[in-house]
Amino acid sequence: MRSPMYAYAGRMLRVDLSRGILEPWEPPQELYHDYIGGSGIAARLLFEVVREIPDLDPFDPRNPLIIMTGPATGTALPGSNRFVTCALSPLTGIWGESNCGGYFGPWLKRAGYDGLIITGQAPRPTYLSIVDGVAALHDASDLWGLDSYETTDLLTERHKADQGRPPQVFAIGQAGEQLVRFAAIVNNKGHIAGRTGMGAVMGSKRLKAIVADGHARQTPADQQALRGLTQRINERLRDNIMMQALKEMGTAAELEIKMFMGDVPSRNWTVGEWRQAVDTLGGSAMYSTILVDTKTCYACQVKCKRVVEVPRNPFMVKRGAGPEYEACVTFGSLILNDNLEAVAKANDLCNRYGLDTISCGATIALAYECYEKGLISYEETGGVPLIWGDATGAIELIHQIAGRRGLGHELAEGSLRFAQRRGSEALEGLTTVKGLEAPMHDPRGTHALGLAYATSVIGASHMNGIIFAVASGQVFYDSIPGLEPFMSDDPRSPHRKALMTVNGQNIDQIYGQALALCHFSGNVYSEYDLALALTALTGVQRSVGDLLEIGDRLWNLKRAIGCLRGLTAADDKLPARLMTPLKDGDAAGLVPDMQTMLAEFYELRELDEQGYPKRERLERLGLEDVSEVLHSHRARVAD
Amino acid sequence: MAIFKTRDELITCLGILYDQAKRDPRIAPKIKDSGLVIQFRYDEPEAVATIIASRPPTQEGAYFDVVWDDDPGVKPDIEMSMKADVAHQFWHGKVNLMAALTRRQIIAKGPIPKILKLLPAVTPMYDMYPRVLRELGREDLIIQK
Repeated sequence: MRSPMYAYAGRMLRVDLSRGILEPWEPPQELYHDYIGGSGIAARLLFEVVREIPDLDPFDPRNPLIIMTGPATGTALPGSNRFVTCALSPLTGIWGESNCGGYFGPWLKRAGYDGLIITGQAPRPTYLSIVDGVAALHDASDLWGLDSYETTDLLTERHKADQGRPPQVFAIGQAGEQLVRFAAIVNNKGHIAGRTGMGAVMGSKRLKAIVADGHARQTPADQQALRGLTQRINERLRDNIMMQALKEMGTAAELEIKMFMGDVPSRNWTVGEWRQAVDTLGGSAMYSTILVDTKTCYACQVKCKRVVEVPRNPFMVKRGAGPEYEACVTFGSLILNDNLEAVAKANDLCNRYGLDTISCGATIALAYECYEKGLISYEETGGVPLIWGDATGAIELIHQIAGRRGLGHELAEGSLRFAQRRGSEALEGLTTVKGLEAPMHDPRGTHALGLAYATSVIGASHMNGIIFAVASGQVFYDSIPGLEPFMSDDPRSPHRKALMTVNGQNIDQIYGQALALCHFSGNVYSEYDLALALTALTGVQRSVGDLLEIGDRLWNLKRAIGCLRGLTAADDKLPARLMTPLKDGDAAGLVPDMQTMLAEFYELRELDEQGYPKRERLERLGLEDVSEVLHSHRARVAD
Repeated sequence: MAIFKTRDELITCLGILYDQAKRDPRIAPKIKDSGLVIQFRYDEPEAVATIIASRPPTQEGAYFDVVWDDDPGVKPDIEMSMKADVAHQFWHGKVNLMAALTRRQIIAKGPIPKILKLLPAVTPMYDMYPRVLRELGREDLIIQK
C-alpha cells in the first residue's frame, strides 16, 4: 500500500523507442525518499544500468536518457522551474547531467509524470507527446534537419489544439542529430540543457523532441507552510541587490564586477584582464545596445533572461533569446572579440542548432589558438582565418560543427578529442576536466573553484556545487561549516576550501540537482528554508543535517558511476593551462594549491588512493549495494 | 575600533582622494559623462560625500564637484551607504563588492546598470588611495598587500 505522494506525480514514463513501447511506472517510494528527485533519482536509475554494463557506449541505445523534475518543480516556490536531463555523457564518458530552467519541467508534471526514462533507438526520426497522462510516439521525419526553434514552432502549432493552448517543447537541433558531443536540448527557444552533450544522446535515439502539456496538479504536504515560505523568499528576492542586478542586466552583469577580480578568462585563458570587454560585452553594454526585452522562467520574478535583436548584417539576429554571461565570454573575451552583436549571433546559432555555448565556445577558442600556432591551416577552416578579435571565424565554425562539415567534424568531438588528435601543442591549450570544458570563471582568481572543477561529478562545472556562489560572496549558510559568510574573504588560499567544496557539493546535490531549484532565486534561501521547503513539499521531516547527508549520498553515487566508467584519482586535476600563472590582472602570478586542497578533500570525502569512495562511507550512506559493485569492480581492475 | 577616529580625519583622507580623482583623466571623464549625482553616506564616523556630475564643475581642472555636506542640495541618483571602515577597505581594492552587497555591508540604492558601469572607471583609485595616505603621513592606515 503506497502512502500519499505529496508534491510528486508518483509515476514516471518508460519509453522504449526501439520497440515503440510506452509504459507508465510507479517507482518504489523508497526511491523518492532516499534520492529526492531530479538527478538524484536519475543517478540511482542509471547506476542500475552501469552496474550491468560498465563499458556501455553513451551512444548505445541502452544508455537511458532520463529527464527528471524535482518535488519543487511546478510549485509556486520561487525558482521552481528547473528540471534535469541525465545519461552517460558522450563528451566525458562518465555521469552526465544538464540542468535547465524555462517551462518544460512544470509542464511535464502537469502532464502527469515526474520523469521520463528513454531507452532504445527509434527506427526513424520520432517525437514523443505527453498530454494529460497519455503518451504517444509520432513520426518526425518532417522535423529532422530543422533547428530547435523551427521544431518548437511547428510542434507548438501542431499540438496547441490538444489543450487549447501552447504546449511546452523540448527539442534538439541539427547538432543533436549529428551527434555533436556537446549538443544541447532546447526548451521554449531560449532555455537550454547545455552541458555534457545530452542533446547528442537524444539524437542518437532519433528522438527529435518531446511535447508536454496537461492539467495534473501535485499537492504539497503543507500548503500553508509552503505559501509562507514563498512569500518570504519573494520579499527577499525583491530586496536583494544581486537579484536586482540580474533583473536589470541579466547574467552578463557579472562581467563588470568580475573582470577586475581575476575571474573572467580572455584569449583562451592566457590573458587575465581584458578591460574593453567590460564596456563592450557586459550587462550594461547589452542594456544600452541590443536589449529589447526581458523574459522569465516559470515561477520567477527575477527575469534574468535577455531578449535581444540585431537588425543589421553581418550579425543580424531576429528578436530572441540573448547571450548569457558564459556566451559573452566564450564568444567574446575568450577570442578577444569585443563585438556584442557577433556574440549575440554566435549565441543565437548555438541555440538554434542546439549547442552548449560553453563547450562550443571553448572548443572554438582552442581552434583559434591552434590556428595561430599553425596546427590548423587556412584550407582546413574552409578559407576563414581564425584571428583573435575577429568573430567571423567563430561563427563559421559553429555552422561547420553543427553540420559536422570540414574542420567542424573534428571539433564536434569536443576539445579534448580534438587536441589529442592534433598533438602536444594543441593539448597545451586544453581547458577541460574529465573531458568537460571549463566554464568562464577562472580558478586562478578563486582557488576553491579549482578544487570544485577537479572534483565535480560531471567534469569542470561551476553549477554542480555552489562553491562558485559561496566563494564569490553571493551565498552563504551560517550553520554549514565551510559555507559561512566569511568564506569569501580569503579566496586565494587553500584554507578550508576542501570543507567548502565538500559541503558546497553536498548541499547543491539537494538544492540545485534533486530539489531542482534555480541557482539564482535559490541564492536567497537559507539552509533552513531549503529543509523547510523539502519538508513542506513531501511531508517527510528533513533537517539541514539530513540535506547534507542525502547530498553526500548523491555525490558518492554519481562518483561511483564515474569510477565504474574508469574514473580515477588521476582525473581529479586541472588542465595545465588553468595551472599556469597569468602575467596580468588581479590574479597575476597565482595558481591554486591543488595538492593541499585535494589531500584534504580526499580525507573529508573518504576516497581511497584510487579515488574510489571507501566502503565504510558508502555503507554509512545506505549505498551498500553500490559499495559491493564498486569494490568488486576495483578488485577486477587491480587484477 | 573604527579606522577613522573623527569625521575630520575621514574627510581629510577620502576628501583628498576624491579631489585627485575628479581631476584624473583616467577616472573623471567617465564619471562626468554619466551625468549622475552619486552620494556616499558613511557611518562611524558619520559623513556624507556627494559627487555631482549633473552640472558643470565649479573648480577649474575638475570634471565634476565633490561636496562634503549632509545636505548638498541635490537629489542623488545613486546612494551608497557603508561604514567608513568599509570605504577605507574598498578604496584599497580589498572589498569583494558582491559579498559586501550580499551581506549588506554596502547598501546601494539607484539604477544598478549605472552603478556597475562606473566600477571599471574607479579601479585606478585603488592605487591612488594608499599614495594619498602616504602623502598625508598616514602610512599607519595603509592596508598592506
